[in-house]
Amino acid sequence: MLNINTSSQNIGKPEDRVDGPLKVTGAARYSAEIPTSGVLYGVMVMSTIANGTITSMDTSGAAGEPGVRTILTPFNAPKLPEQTSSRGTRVLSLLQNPTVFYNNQPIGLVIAETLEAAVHAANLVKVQYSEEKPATQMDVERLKAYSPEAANRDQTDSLRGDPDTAYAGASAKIENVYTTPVENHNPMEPHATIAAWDATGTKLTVYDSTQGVFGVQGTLARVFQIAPEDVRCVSYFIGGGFGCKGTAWSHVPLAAMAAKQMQQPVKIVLSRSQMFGMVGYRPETEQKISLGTDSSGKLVSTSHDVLTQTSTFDEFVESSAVATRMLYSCPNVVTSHTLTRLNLGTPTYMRAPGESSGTFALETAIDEMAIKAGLDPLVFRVQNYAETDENAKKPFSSKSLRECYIQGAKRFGWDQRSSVPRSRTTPDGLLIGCGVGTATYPANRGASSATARYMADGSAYILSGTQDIGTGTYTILGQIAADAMGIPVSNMRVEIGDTDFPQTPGSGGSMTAASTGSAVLEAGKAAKQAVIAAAIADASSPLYGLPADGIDIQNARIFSTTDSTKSEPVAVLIARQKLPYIEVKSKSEVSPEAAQYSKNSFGAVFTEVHVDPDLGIVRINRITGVYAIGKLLNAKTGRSQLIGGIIFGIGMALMEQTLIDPRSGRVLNADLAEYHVPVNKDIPVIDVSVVDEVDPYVNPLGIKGIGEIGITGVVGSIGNAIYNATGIRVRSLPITLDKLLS
Amino acid sequence: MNKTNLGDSVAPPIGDRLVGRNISDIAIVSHDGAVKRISDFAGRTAVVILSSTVWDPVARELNAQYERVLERFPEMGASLVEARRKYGDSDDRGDNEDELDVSVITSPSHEASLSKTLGISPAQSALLVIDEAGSIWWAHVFSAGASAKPDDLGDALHSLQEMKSRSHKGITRRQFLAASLASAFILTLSLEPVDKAQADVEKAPASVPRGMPIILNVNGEDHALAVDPRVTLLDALRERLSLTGSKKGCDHGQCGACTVHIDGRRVNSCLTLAVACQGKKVQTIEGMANGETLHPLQRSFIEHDGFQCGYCTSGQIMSAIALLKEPVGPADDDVREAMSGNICRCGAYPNIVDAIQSVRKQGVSNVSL
Amino acid sequence: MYPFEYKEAKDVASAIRAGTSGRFLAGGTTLIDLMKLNVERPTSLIDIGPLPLASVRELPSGGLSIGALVRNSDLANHPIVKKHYPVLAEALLSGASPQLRNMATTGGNILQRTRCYYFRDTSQPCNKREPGSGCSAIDGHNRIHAVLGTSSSCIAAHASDMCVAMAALDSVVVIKGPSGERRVPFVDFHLEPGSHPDRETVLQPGELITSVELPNLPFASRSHYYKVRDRASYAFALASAAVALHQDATGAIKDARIALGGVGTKPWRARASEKYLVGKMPTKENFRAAAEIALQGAKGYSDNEFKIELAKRTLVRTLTTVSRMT
Repeated sequence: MLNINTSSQNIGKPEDRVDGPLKVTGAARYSAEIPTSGVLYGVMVMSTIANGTITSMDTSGAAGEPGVRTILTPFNAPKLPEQTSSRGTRVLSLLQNPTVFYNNQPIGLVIAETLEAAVHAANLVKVQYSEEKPATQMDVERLKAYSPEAANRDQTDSLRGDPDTAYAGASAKIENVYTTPVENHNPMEPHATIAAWDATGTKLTVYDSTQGVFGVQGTLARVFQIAPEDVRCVSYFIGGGFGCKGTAWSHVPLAAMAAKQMQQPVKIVLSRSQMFGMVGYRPETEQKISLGTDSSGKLVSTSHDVLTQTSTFDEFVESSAVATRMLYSCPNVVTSHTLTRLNLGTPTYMRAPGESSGTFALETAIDEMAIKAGLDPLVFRVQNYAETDENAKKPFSSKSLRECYIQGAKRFGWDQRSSVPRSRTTPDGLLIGCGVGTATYPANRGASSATARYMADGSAYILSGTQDIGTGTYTILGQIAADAMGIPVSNMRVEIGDTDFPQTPGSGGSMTAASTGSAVLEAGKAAKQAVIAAAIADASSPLYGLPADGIDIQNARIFSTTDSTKSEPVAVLIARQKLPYIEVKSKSEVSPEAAQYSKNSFGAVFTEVHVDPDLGIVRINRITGVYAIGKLLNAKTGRSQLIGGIIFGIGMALMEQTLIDPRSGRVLNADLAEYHVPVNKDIPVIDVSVVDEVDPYVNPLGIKGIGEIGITGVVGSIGNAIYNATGIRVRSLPITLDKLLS
Repeated sequence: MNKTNLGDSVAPPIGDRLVGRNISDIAIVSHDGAVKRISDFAGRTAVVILSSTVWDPVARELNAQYERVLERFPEMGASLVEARRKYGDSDDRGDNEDELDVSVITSPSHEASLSKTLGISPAQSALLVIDEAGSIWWAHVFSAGASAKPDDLGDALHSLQEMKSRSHKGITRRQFLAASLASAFILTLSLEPVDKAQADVEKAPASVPRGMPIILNVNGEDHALAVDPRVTLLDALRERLSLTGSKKGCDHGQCGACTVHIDGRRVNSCLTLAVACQGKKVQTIEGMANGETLHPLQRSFIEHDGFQCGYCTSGQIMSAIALLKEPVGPADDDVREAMSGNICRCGAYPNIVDAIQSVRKQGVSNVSL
Repeated sequence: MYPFEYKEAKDVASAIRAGTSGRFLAGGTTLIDLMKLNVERPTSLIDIGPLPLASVRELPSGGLSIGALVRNSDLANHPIVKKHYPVLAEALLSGASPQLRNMATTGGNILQRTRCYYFRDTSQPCNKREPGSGCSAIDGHNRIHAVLGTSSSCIAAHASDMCVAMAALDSVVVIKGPSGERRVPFVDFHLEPGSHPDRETVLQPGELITSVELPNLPFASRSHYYKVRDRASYAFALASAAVALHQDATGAIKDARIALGGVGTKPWRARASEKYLVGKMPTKENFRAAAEIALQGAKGYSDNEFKIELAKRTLVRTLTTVSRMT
C-alpha cells in the first residue's frame, strides 16, 4: 500500500497555484466567458407563487422587445422524455408541464440577441396562475413528516444498545432542541452554461460551471435521450460551488433545449436572485439531542433525532445525525431522520452536508453535557474518546484526534480559559469566552482514472476529467504526477475539466485528491514503467537491455541506478521513437481492504470570542484549528482550504439565514446585501495546522480530503465560546446579537 | 468621433503599422522544437494567431473552435497549424489553383519571434493575414486579456473568401486590403451585413436597437461602440469588448467582483452605465500588468495564496491597487475594513490581507501605467 | 430594466427643466440598483454628473456648504469635516463599501430608498411602490424594519448613515427647482410614511438638490457616530446613533445633538432627549433616561421588537463615548 519507487519531492510542498497567473490577471476564463461564435442570451422567467398551476403566459409584450428571438414556455417547449429521480440526479424544471412547485422556479426561457433584451423581456412575460396554499414551514408540516429510505449516503436511523433505559439511569443528563436555518451556498460565480450543438444537431457541447462534468454529461444524455459520447461537458475554471454545482440544474438542459431550437449556441447565466431556490440549498433542521452520563462523566446514552425538509417533488436528506453515531464513545445510541415536504426548491449538498449542521448541534450538546457533569469541555471530549467506530463496528484506518486536542489546546492556550461565564473581560470591557468543538469528515474515495503522458520535449501531461473548483486540483495533481513520473513540477501540465478526458467522480465529498490523486499516481507510475520499457528495448538508448528494476526517472532524465553514466533525457528517448509522446491511462479503484476500516478526518477547533456585554455584538478574536487529515499534499493550498472552511463556518454560526415568507414561500433576502456571508473585517487571524498522520489504508497517497472538514466543529466551538463569554446558550443559528441582548 | 468606424475594436495603430511588413524570415518555434519560418508556408495564404504566453487551458479549446470554423470554409483548404502542436500533424495541403490555400497558425506569443519583431506584447493576442510573399496584409492586435474569437477568425477567412470569389486568378493586394478593411467593419455590432444573403452563424449580430454611439477608453485604448443605454459598464466590458476579467457576482453593487477603476478610483462597474463613461478613463484588471510583468500586488496574491476559485480575485486586486493610494491606516484591521467591499466566499481573506500588507510594507504605492 | 433615454445635463437650469419629466442620475448606486429590479422605471435619465455641484466650501457664517455631487468618500476625507464634524465623517465611512462611497454623492445619499425586502420585490404587495396594495412587512419578516415613525401603511426603515449625522447637525438642504431656490431644514426633508408611503421627501418634480449646508456648530467637533449591525462591515444598521455633546468644565451638558438610524422611517432626530440632557451630568442613568425618551412611542413588530432596547443601548453607548472625548 505504501509508495515505492516514487520520490516525494513535491508532495507536501507549499507550491504556488499553477493557475495563479491566469487568475490574478483576469485571464482565467469561466464558463460564460469562453469565446463562442454566434451565441444567444437566455434568461429564465421565474414563478412568483409557490404552489399551483400556470393557466396562461402572455408573451406578446416580451416578444416585442427588440432583439428577442423566441420565448419558451411550458405551453410551447419541445417535449422531452419523462424524468425520473434517482440518487445523484435531480428532478428538474424543464418547461414540460405548467405545475409550479416553489416560488422562484424556472417557468420560461427568453432567448435574445443581447443580454439587456433578454432580461427585460423575461420581466415582461405576464403569467396567470391558479394558486393553492403552499406548505412553507417545517413546524406546520411536522405531523406529516416521514422516514426517508436513506439519509444522504447513510442509513436513515440507527440503534445500538438501549438508550432509553440508560438515559433514565444517567447521573447527569441534558435534552435540548437545536435548530439551523435554510442556508444558501452563494459561490461568487453564479451558475453559467453555454450550450452548442454541432452542425448536424446530434452532438452537444456545454461549457458549464459545474463540480461534475460527467454528471452533467449523464444528465444531458438522459434528458435528450442521446448517447453520453455525444455530449461533451467542459469546465476549466469554476468560481466556487460548495455543493450547489454538484449536479446539473434546470438551466443546463434548458440552454441545450434552446440551442437546439435556435441552431445557435445559447448562454444562460443565473442572476444572484436565481441562486436562491433552483440550485439547491442547505435545508432547515430541527435536531433534538439528549445525552446522559454516569457519575464519572462517561457518556452512557445518546439520542439525536433530526427533522428536516425537502421539496414536494424530489428528495434530499440533510444527514445531521450521522456523525453522532461514531464521534464519541457511547454504548447506547439512537439516531433518526425524518422529512417534511415543503413548497420550496429541492435542497442539496452544502459543504459538509449533515456534518456541519449536525456537529453544531452535537458539539453544543456535548458542551452542555460537560458543564452539567462538572467537567471541562475538552476533558469531557477526551474522556469520551472513541477508539473505534462503534457504529460501523470497525477500527479507524487512523485517528489522531487526541493529538489534535493536545496540540490545539497548547497552541490556543486553552488553560487560560475560565470555566465561569462573564468572568473575563478585555481592557475595553468586552466579555472574553473560549470554546472548543470536534471536527470530522469521512475520508471518501471513489474509482477514478487519469492519463499520464511523457512528451517528446521534456514536459509531461496529466489528463483527467476532474474539476478544480478553487480546491487547487490543477496544482496538486501536478505535484503528485511530478513525483510519480520524475518530471520537474514546472514541466507538468495538468489538463482537467473535460469529459473527453478519463472519467472521475465529481468534486464533492472532499474526495477529489484521494480519488483522482490516486489515479494520477497509478497512471504516472505506469507511464514511467512504459518509458523504461521503451528504453530497454531501444538499441540506441544507453539503457538498452538493462533490467527494469535498475532504472529510474528523475528530473526528466532516465538513468541506471547502478551506473550513472548510463542516462539520457526522456525527451530524447521519446523523440527517437518518432513518437510525440508515450502515455498510459490508468484506472484506480477503492481497494476492498480499505472497506474493513472506518476512514475519517478529525480535528479540534478552538475559538475565542469577544462579546459586547450590552449590545451582544460578537467578534471572533482568534481561532485555532488542528487537524488530522493524513498526508497534506500542498501546505499552501491546504492551509487556505482549511481556513476557507472555518470562515464558511463563521458565516454559518453568526450570520447566514435564508428568510422565506411563509405566506408566499418567497425568499426575501435573495441577494448578497441581506444574505450575509462574512466580509474581510469579520475574520481575524486564523491559525491552522495539521498533525503528522500516516494512514496506510485510506489510499495509496495516504491523504484524506480537507475541503469540508473546516466547517465542522467550528460552529459549535463558536457557540460554546459565546456561552463561555456571556452565560447565554443559543441553540438556534445564526447567533445574531438580538439573541444575546440580556 | 469617427462615424465610419463603429467597430467594437477599431484596429489600433499597431495593427495598421504592421500592414505591408514582410515577415517571411521570421521564425516560429514549434512544439517539437523544430523551427519553422513563415517562408515555409510560401505560396499559401496564412492566418497566424498569436496567443498569450501564459498557460491557459482555454487556449486549447479555442484552437478546437478555430478548427470548427475552418470546417465551414472547405473550399479554402484551410488547416490549423499549431506552432505548438502536440501531434505530428502534417500541415501540407494539396494545392488547387482555384483555391486560396490558407494555413492558420497558432503560436504562443513568446515562442514566436514575431511578437518581439512586431512589437506585440506577449500578453496580447493578434490575428494576422499574410500573403503568399510573406507580407502582412491585415493585422488585428487585441487588447491585453482579449483573445481572437472564432468570430474574428471567421471574419478574416470570410474576407479571403470574398476576394477569392471576385477573381479566378488570384487577388491583388489592393483588393485584399480593401476586403480586409471591410472585414474589420464586420467586427462591429451596429452594422448592415456585408452580404445580405448571409445567414451563416458567424456573421455579425443584428444592429443594436436603441444603440447610442459612445467611445469607451479602457486601459488606454479607445473603443467605439453603440450601446443600449441600459448596458452597464460591466456588461459592455464582458459582452462587447471580450474583457471578461471583471466579474459579475451580484450585479447590484453588493459584492465587489466587478470592481474597476474610473479616473483612478475604485468603483462597481455593475452600477455604472456604459453611456455615462464617456471622457473617463476606465481601467480593468487586464490593464494592471505591464506586459508579462505582473503588478507587485498580483505577484503578492500568488505568493500569499490570496485566492482559491479566483472569481473574486480581479475585484480584490483592483480594490487593493486603489487602496495603496487611499488614506488607509497601517494596521491589518484597517486593511480588513478597506477591503470589506470585496466578498470572498472561498475565505481567502487572511491571505488577501497578508498579500496587501506585504506590498505596503515594501513601500509600493505607485501603479505604473 | 425598462428602456430610457439618456442625456447629459449641460447646466442646472436645463437640468431642472428636463427634471420635471425625467430622473436625475448622479452616482447611480440607488437608481441603477432599483432600475434593475424594475422598482424604478424612469423613461428619461438626466446625468447631472457634469454639473458644477461638487465643491465643499466654507460659508461666511463659519458653516460648510457641501455640493450635492460631492462623493461620499471625498466628503468623509475632507479635513474640515474630519476635524469639525467627525460624526459626519464616521457616518459616511460606516456606510456601504469603499467602491460605493466613491460613486455615491451627497444628494444621492439623501435620496436613497429603503432596503425593505418587499419594496425591492415587485412580486410582493407594497404600499410604497404601489399605493393601496398593502404592506407585506407588517405581518411578514420585519427584522430590519423601523420601530419609530411607522404607520399601518408602511414600516420601512430609512437606511442612510450620512443622513442621521446630517439630521443631528441641523443641516439645511438647498434645493433649486422650477420655482427657484428654497432651503429646507434637513429634519423636515424626509417624510414619515403616514398614509402616503410613496412620498418620501418634500422634493417636487423637477427639483434638484444642489447642496447641503452644515451650520457653524463649534461643539460638533466633539461628536461620534456608532453603528450596530449584523456583520462587521458592508451592512446596514440595525441601530445607530449620531451624537454631539457640549459640556462645560464640570462636565455638565450644555447642549446636545442626537439622531438615531436604522430604527426610524426617516432619519430620527431626538430633540426631546437633547432637551432632557441640558443641564444634566453625563451619568449612565441620565443617558439611559435620555434614551428612554428617544424611543418613547416606539412600536415593535414580530421580528424587530429587540431594536427598541438595542437602540436605547446604542444611544447610551454613543453618549458615553462622546462624553469621554477630550
